[in-house]
Amino acid sequence: VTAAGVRPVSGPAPDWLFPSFERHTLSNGVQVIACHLADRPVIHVRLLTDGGIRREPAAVAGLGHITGRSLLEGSELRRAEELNEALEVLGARLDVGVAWNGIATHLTMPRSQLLPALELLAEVATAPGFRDDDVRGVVRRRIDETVIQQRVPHTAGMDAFAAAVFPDGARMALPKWGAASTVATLDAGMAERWWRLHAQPFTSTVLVVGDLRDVDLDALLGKTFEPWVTTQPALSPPALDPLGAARRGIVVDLPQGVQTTLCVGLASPPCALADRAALQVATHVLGGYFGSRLVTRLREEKSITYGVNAQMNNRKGSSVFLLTTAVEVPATLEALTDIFDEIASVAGGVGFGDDEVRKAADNLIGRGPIAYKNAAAVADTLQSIVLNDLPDDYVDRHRADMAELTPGQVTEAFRRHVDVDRLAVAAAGPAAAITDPIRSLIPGVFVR
Amino acid sequence: MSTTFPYVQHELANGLRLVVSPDRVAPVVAVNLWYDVGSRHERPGRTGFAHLFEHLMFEGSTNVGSGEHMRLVLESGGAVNGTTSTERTVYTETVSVEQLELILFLEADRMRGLLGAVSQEALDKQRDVVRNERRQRYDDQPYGTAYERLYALLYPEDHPYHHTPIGSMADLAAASLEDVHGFFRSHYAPDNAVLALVGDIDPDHALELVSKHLGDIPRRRDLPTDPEATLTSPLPAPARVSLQEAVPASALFLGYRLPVDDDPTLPALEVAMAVLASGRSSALHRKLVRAELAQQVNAGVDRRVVGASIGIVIAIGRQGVKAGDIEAVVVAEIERLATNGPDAVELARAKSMLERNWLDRLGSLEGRAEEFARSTTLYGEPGEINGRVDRLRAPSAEDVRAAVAQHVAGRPPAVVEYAAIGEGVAA
Repeated sequence: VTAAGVRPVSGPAPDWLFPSFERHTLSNGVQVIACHLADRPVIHVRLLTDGGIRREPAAVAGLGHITGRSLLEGSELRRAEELNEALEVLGARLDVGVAWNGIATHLTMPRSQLLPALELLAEVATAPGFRDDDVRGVVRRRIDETVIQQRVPHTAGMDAFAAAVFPDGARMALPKWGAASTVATLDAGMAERWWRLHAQPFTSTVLVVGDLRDVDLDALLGKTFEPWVTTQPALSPPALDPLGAARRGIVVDLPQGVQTTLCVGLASPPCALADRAALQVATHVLGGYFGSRLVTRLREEKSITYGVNAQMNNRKGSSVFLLTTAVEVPATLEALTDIFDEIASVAGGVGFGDDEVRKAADNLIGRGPIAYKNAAAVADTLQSIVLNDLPDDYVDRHRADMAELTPGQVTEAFRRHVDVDRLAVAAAGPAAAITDPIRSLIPGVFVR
Repeated sequence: MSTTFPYVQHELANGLRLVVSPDRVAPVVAVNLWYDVGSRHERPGRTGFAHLFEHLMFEGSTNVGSGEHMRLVLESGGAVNGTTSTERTVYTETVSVEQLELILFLEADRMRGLLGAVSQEALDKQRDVVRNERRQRYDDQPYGTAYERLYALLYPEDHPYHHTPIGSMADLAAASLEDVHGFFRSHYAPDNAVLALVGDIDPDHALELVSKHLGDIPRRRDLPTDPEATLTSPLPAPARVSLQEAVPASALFLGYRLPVDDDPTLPALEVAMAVLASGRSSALHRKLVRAELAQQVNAGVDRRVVGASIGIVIAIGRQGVKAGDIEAVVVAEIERLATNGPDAVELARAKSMLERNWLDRLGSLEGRAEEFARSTTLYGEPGEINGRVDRLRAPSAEDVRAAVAQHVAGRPPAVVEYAAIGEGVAA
């Protein structure tokens, strides 16, 4: 039977729910989340503790990051080389990432090595080394890395974007991992105090995701993390992030640049759980995927970019709407005008249409099973649930919410959160060529 | 830890090879359609064409409108992409199992009848998109053209690996509709492709669907022969490019010609590269990163099918450190390996790291589908992927020492070195 020209019609996607996971609490208060995914031979473990970026005073911006990286420099029992060798002989990898609301220590290993790798993670977390020379080395390396990041258009643009959307002097206005000037002030004593203040059993969670057949996780964690003793009382939550008041524009001069990297957006008060679905769909329609308005306009119709990205980053202290793209230098003003026009058409114009909302929502809903078949993605989302205090059924609930949305709800939510008059722009590219064009839209734009 | 990922393989009457591997974690399937054409098959003056052509594959076909393929996949949340390397062009979709038949229809439609739908306008548009991709990913990034320069040193000018898949701006500008037609007719055919399906699917049902949609596409039979790619390994003489650019720090890109992918010594060389720079306790991490000469160092083997693979060491310098200082340390470590071989811990560590990385790759449906397609195309044997851990585990310390002595130590390297403006290049 030839099928040429006869297009099949797909049935509805099978019912799907986020992979089930179990929670329990160790006797010392450590929360445990275990998620079994068959035939995923590499286990993903995350130790989630307090002490993220939102806890940092601006003067020590980067302290959470330096603290986390210093964990990799060894424990009380062994120096960095010995620790890393012990991990790597197991095929294990240990990394630390600092998030807005916590420090996430990532451990991966083949499932056969789960116990010895967990023992090393517990050793690092409960008896960290924080030796003076090791932390000094981490600080020096981080400062050198900032030099590179300032020359990479995307990271340079993102650092400037933070400065454009948050008020001067605020922690959030500084680069995510701190500025060279603040990182330079950090030392081992500060890192050790930061870790001991924030990494306590009763505020920590251990996630384990992968093929857990025949794994006695209770026994493994009882042996590794249950002996961890509380030494500090709980901290009150950090204050909400202060927000920038007016439209701002910042240009980062990359004189040799052949493109302009544009970051457009703003920070707004934290998004209510009920608004999350609508805001995700709104940003998706604008620039979140191939079918979005701005991908169509800037890439498919005008061919002035390779791609566009849009997202709403929901943190506990604020929500950040962000749209990024990189365009040919001569097209900088044209692209920026198109971006502003699209946002304004929603914020002050006709709003979102039925067809585009339905398509964007269907895309996001359909992504569920496709995204969460791999262990790393499941671990990422469980981490987000823990660090952002989201309900355990967040993914399923969020998908159901998106299915019910009307264009009016999406438009209204977007208007509540995105004030066009406060939109900020950060641009990384050759300042001599792009500053004046940007000034025609944002008169106060300056080069830094 | 060997892997035992199951698979079933078939070859259709028109030469299309199919590999199906069930995985029941979620009701989805990863599709990987691997065409045996990459930048190594491009003709002189048309570098970048395989990749540009990949973009055009989304511009519509006989029964599918421009951009519709992508829209149909995305409407229900699927992931869709195309990628081009030196060896191949791959089209991937990850979709709900209910969408699999639609995907097979879409892939069949463009395999059967792309040409009528590709217009000059579509070509011009995608050419501009690709130019912007080149600017964004290569020209506008520090060290972004390093690989291009390294390949050009490692392979002679007329060699198919001399250039990278992104191609040159001039060659992209020269591409014509006639080139598009010729390329499609030469390379896009069922007997030049492998289709791998990994996911929640029964192999018999998969074969039925694939036969229905792709089984009647005529085989090409007269596929072009691969371009001549024989090389003597190693490089006949050292080759070096020293650059002084507005980069943030010095950098070293060091490459050696190594044997091709199926050479029995290649696993030992992969282990050697992991001994050198995979992980924080590797030899070069200790001597460069911890010693504060480099911010980062990586090493690996770029496995190539013909001519020569590449052993690569890459290091970005700390502020004020010259690339030559880094190179001296790298060369000394290579010499040590060639003389003493790795010690027992180094050997165990390197093998474990390689194994973990490989298991991580196979742990994703997309990674497994790609590896099934690769091993089927290159070796006619999908099960090759399940044996890779054993092959990486096999070399002894002496095997590693001997392989480094034979293929790396004292052999002429290709070097691309960067100095930040004002630093000076030479050590």
